[in-house]
Amino acid sequence: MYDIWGFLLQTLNVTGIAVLILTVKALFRDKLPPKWQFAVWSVLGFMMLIPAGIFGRYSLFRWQTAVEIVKSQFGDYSFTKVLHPLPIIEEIPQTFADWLFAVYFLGVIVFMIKYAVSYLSLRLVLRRGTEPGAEKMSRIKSIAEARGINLCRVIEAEGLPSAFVCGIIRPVLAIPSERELDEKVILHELFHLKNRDTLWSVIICALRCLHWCNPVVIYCANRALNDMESRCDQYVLENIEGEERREYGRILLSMANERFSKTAGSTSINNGGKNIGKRIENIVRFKQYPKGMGLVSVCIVILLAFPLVIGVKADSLIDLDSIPLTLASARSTPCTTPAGAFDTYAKAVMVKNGYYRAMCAPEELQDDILNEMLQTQKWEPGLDGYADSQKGYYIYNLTQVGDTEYEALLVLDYPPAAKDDFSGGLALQNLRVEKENGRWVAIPLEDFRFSDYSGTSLSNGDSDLPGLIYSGEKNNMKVEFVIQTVHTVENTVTDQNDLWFLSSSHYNTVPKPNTDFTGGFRSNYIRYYHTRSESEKWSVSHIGLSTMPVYEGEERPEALAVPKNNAAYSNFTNSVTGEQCISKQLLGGWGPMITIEGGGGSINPKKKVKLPEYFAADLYINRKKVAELDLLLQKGGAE
Amino acid sequence: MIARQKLYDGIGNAAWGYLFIYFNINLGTLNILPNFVGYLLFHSAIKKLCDAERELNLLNTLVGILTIWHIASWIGDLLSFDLGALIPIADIIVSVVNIYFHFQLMTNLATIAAKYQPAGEDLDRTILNCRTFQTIMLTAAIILLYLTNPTGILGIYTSIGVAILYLIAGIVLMKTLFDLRRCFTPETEEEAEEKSE
Repeated sequence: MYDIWGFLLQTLNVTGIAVLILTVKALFRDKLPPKWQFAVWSVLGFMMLIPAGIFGRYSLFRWQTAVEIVKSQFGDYSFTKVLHPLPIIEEIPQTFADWLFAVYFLGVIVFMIKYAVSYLSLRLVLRRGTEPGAEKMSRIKSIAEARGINLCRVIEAEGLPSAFVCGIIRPVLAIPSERELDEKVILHELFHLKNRDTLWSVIICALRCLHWCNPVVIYCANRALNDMESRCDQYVLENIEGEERREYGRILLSMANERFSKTAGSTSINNGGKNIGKRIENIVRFKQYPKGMGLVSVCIVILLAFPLVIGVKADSLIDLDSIPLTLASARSTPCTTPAGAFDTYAKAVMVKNGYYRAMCAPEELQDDILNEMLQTQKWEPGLDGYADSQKGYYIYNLTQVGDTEYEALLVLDYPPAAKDDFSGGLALQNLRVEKENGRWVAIPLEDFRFSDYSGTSLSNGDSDLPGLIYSGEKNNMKVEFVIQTVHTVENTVTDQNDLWFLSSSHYNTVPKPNTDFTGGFRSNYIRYYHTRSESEKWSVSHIGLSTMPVYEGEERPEALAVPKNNAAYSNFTNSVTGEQCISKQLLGGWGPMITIEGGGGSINPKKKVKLPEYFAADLYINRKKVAELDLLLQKGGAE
Repeated sequence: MIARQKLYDGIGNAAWGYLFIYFNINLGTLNILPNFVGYLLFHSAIKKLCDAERELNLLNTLVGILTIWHIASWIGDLLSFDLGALIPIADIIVSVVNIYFHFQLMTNLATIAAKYQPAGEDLDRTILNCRTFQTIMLTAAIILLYLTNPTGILGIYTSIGVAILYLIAGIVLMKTLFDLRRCFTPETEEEAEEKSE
């Protein structure tokens, strides 16, 4: 946590979970034993250590929306993030929010010091203690041996209102010297020792320090410590009978230890008088817990923990009838996948929706989007008209350019309504999607450019659109091997109709910030450029090209397969090695460049497209090998 | 002595209650075997059986919560909205209440079976096995559904697999409960007269 907003998000998240656990505990108060009542707090403790909103997921409620709304009232449009549950101050406070965080940070330190001082003063008291007499020691040893508990060092000290265990690594069982040794009390403390409750008390106090200003967490911490005591009471009650149980209740009443009632690392922490009543209540209820509930107790803890740990991804923004508030909601609906960012950006452009854009916009653009929407009540992506939202969008030539950066060409069907002179058209824009503060954001690399080309099957690639170009040149003969990939997200929604033949479908323009690509297609074609004399060009009647992808670290193959030179058109691809042989009979009349389709097929859209370092190629002119080429990737070729 | 008629009716109500829990027949969005009817039957069963098994009294609050939730869900289904998605915290609470409720109810029914079943019968063991199987399976299924996409292939196969196993366990449980009910068949007037002679 680096700011007050991160803490607010974390503590709100924890509060929601605490309320859930308190509700469940209330429902099972008389049904499940103290052992479960204490164990269930582990869910809250675990969730307190998990950063809220990690991986774009939330538990129970979208607290992030509330935090973003409050934050935007302070003019702060940055993304709230919690990277870890501990507070860290990186710079000198400047704003009001910074100072608030500094106060919170100071509180954590103060509470930690308070617990440390309390523990040290308890240790000081124990230093004055002595080993109990032989008779007392023998009785304590026999109690421990009877229960199979390894006994720690025992000391007797003056002024202790009750016995307790202190210390984690080298625990000490402290007993008051003025009081008669009671076996039940010793048994209770030995169970604390067995369960390593001094360690639990430290963990609980540490978590309480982190959320010292949250009353719900403080209440839960106290309840957890009380449940820890009740668990040991339960063990004791299971080991004693009849009248002894009533006597145990009376002893508890006399054991109130207010002096060291909040000392981490010791089991005297919760012997405060207020809690004794509840513990006696539990003792009275002792026999009423249904038996044989072990399995369901574990299942309940699992069923509570799982939905909270796994969480839910925010998948839609909440329209709050106000531009700043809805934008705050958009910021709390992050894109958690690269495909989600492409999808959200494309739809933001298609329907010109600024809220959608805010979902996938980098932090530095958030303020601009807000101002544009406040001034004009809309957001303009740089298109005069609207793209045809029912034709969808296509992501061409997706390339990973860094660990968390992808680039691709966004292709939209864009028939400009204002121009009647042609029906078709495309809008193209190179786009980068990158990870910023744990969310994927889309950054246009250029303004939209337009093409009057109207593709008929854009999902299968098209040689009129750009691709990734591998190029090589020798003896005035230039060859380009062009790869095109098309990634898509399934957005077609079938409209339900009771009469099946009346069913129709439409394109869903609501962003899917958590989607993966659902469709992928890869195609390739070659381009041969003839730059020699026109007379030589007329003599070219047949072209063939063999290619083999060579990946990083691989050696160039010594020989490539020979294309079928007797066919008018042939295309063979080895699906294992990727080697491809293409040949084509030419019928004169071609220009300076000829394109030969190389085919294509579906690819796994979730698998990263691995690009070769270069293609080893053999060029055949008129059935004769005329050149060996290395086709190298051209930078910016896909643009 | 606990009246045989009460035990007969109580066990019968529990058995019929499970029919409504395990089976759902939908006409469009209308479930004609609504779960809440099952919980109303369980409520009645608890009232009738609590003299034989006191722990059943602990289930009174839980059966009330489950009845209200399932009435609300049934109405929600009719109006095509998912109550669980709307109130996720309530959904989690109901899922843990549900798993506990059935676990304890079946445990208590098994205790009654152990007390009253004819010698040589193993009805209590069968009920306990159904209880354990259902609890583990439901927990595993919920975890799997959280880990997989419910509308994905794995999610759909998981749901189908769970539904089939759940139904088999349900049929076995219902049959066992009806067998148990037979132990408490009320005496006819002639039988009562014969006994008094």
